Amino acid sequence: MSSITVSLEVAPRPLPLPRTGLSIEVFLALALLLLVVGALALKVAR
Amino acid sequence: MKRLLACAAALSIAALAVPSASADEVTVSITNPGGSRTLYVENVLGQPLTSLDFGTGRSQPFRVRVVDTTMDRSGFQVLTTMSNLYKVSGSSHDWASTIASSDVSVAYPPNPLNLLNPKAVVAPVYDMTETLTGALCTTVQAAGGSCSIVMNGVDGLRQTVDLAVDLADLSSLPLVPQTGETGDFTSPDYAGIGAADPNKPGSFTPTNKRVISGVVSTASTTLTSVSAAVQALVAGQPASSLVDADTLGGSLRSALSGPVYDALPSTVIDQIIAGLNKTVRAVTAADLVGQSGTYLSYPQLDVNVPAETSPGSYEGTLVVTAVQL
Repeated sequence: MSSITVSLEVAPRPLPLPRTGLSIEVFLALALLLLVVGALALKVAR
Repeated sequence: MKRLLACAAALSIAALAVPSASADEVTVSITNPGGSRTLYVENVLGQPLTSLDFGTGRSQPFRVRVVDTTMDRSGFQVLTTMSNLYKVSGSSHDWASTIASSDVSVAYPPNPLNLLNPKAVVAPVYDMTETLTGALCTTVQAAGGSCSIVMNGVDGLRQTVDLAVDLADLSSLPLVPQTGETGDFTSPDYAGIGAADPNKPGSFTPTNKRVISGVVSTASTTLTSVSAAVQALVAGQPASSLVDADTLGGSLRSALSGPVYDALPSTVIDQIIAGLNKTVRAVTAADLVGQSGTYLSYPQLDVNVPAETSPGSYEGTLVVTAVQL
């Protein structure tokens, strides 16, 4: 009979990434929309 | 004077008490080659294994090696049990923080089984014939015997024969190695580290996982392949080197009938023995008396760490036991 010690390490789990609220795609779309709206507003003002 | 007479009488009685014939002492000896079977638990490089450190990995291979040396015809199993894994806390353990044995399982990589140097130990049986000619025949006939000698069922000396290995078909070997069982250790053992577990129940039945076994084969294919190996080994060898001298002499005496054999000079007996033609009989299950070989299994231990497991070092005990069948 052989007795073998089995050992292992359980590493701390990584913390979840903080939520940024907006994804980069949504941010870019909003920025583009703001640009278009701004350009239109300038054009109307003139 | 009376004393002298008494002494003389005593010596006379003593002389009568001495036996007239002396007794010969014959040492009777026998060798019973029981052989041996040894279990080794090793890492995959062949070094003795006392610990299996997963580190941050979740799978560890190891090797189980069983070595038979002219071993009797008996099968075997190598069984494993596993304790829970307990979180290390200083020099002791946190018995409340465990990874259950049911999260530890046995699996096998491709080609987990191997076999080295299989041999069969055989006690062959021979049939022998001889037709005497010339002066030898005349001498035997003069003693009242026949020139045609037939000796059936002569027990030969044990022979060890090498056997070929075909890993794709091991069924023709005397002891057929078989891959073990897969699956998890549903119920834990409480050996080793687990023996100190304060939650250890009064009685328990740990889950056994077989990691290799050897099954005795008496299949016709086994006997056929061993017969072929024996025939190849004894081909060309004289009967006198294959059968014990006294066994051979006894068989010849029976074949010639006792008085004829007893009347022949030893030189004639030697000439007859030198001319015997032998045929080895097909090996039967009874003739196959043992085997040698190295049986290897490469299991791997897998650990599934549940998501809620507290970080840290964990330890448990794997017990490996060989059972004779």
